[in-house]
Amino acid sequence: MKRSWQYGLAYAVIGLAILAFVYYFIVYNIYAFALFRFPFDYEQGEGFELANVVWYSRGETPYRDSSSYPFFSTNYAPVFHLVILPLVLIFGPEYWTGRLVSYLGTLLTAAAIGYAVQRESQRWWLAAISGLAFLASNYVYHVGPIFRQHMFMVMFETLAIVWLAVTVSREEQTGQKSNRGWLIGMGLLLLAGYTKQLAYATIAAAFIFLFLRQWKRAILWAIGFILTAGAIFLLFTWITDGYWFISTVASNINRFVPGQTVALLRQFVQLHLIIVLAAAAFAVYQLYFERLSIYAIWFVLAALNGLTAGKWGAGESYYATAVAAACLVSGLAFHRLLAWGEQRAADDKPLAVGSWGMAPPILLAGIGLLYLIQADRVFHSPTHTPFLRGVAAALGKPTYAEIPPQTGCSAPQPARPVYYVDSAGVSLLGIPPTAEDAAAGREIAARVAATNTPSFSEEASFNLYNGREVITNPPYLLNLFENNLLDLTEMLDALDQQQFDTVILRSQFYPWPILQMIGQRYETQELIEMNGFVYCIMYPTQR
Amino acid sequence: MISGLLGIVGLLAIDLFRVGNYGGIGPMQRLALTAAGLIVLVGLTLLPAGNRPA
Repeated sequence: MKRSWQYGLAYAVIGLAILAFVYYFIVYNIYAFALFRFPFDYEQGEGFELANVVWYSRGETPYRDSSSYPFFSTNYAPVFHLVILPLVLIFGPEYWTGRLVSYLGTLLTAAAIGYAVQRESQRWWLAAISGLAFLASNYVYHVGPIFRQHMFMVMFETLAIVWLAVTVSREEQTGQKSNRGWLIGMGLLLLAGYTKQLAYATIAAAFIFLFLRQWKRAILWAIGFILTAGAIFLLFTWITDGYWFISTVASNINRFVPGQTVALLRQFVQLHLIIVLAAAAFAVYQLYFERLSIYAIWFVLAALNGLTAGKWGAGESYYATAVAAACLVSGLAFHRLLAWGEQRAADDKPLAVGSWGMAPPILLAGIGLLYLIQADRVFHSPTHTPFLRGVAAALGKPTYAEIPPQTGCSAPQPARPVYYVDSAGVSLLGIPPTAEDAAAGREIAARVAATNTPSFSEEASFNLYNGREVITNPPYLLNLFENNLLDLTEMLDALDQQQFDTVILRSQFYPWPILQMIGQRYETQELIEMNGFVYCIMYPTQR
Repeated sequence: MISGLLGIVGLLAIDLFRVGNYGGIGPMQRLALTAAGLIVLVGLTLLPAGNRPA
């Protein structure tokens, strides 16, 4: 390291930036470990993902006819659930299993980003910040440690892109083709696609890059890839009597909400402004002045694919791949800027005022400052402890927010303090669950245990906690209903005959005829709040 | 540039052959046409680069 006060100052700024992102990593772990201990749904879809694993553990697939009992199916591909299967077989249907796997996936993604930046830059601090910046994104923080397959897809996407970049780079350096390298890259892409279908943009980015570099070979491999993916698809369709197709394709056709698209795009750019601008500038630079890297193509396609966050049922996590790509590409962009400054300095008088020799420390400090600005933009932190509250206050941030409990099935309630602050806006994702939340969950589960049937519940955890069958998957049923793919006859009949001793509602995601029938045959007798949501515990009405 | 032009032709063909469910140019179609137009513009600015590999 060069010794001078200018470099000392520059590295001090870099040190502060590292400190900021390490702090976010600590905050991420506080949230993650609180979730590992929480035995109920934190996010509504978690339990249904766990239910998928339960189906596999019985030797059956979750792709089923939702028109008949238990009215369950899923619109997600199986890789994430199959990875968790051994844990569920050993420990039972526990929420920590999937949360842990998803969390570890985010760490691996951050490590892959760091590796890619380190490989090209040989600057450990830049690699560290690039990887940690991924974990510091509000979007990654919110969904990284929950039992959803999205971040596991991002992990496979990132590993595939980095692997292919390294493989092609080595091929071009040595002049030797590595079919094994391509095969592993294709395998990772296939795993990403069969974790969640949204990976198609990354798959397209990989093949566009391979086509630009070795077009004949890329076409041959693309044919092989499509045939393999297609064969797996047909096999699943055959095994599940066609329900795989209905579940993973037909049910995913959702209406587009233009307002949601614009709002999420604006939020994505505002939160990640520095890394997005740096990555975009680097992609434009490569387009006009050198060859396009796989990373630049990936960033552009991932950002464009983020626009699909405007679909009903989609959300901020659809930008997680773009965040990963932006962290990686911005790291490369900053490295190139530093390398350019160092080269100019080497040709001029070192550290002389008014010469290019001052460029490297100025650029270093500038990049450190930009990362500090980026860190400030994504600010999020629980503030339930004096230390966390003190840090937020010292940074001039609010120490709490006021939001009302979510009352999708009951009367609105006034806002109350929540000890969590987030520049993305405080929603109920990101707040570590407490012992009171767990107690409330056990209370709801006890209501189900006191009856003789599984609950017709909008969340799976209360049945899973009591070892009972998971009935329905409401958002999935709503998708099917809106696409005219669901026959409600048997479900309506069961509710009409009050075959379920309890109904538990939270957001009323069920198709309207179901909600109407519940309203006629069941009545709310108790409201219990958990994680900021008010749950309506309903029992059969007297007839 | 060629892919952008093909995109524009394809998007207009949706109306020409009435493949879509609705008549006229819809909001999504307008968005896609703008994107295809941008691709054409970027393609045009890349013409001076000649045969340099991308």
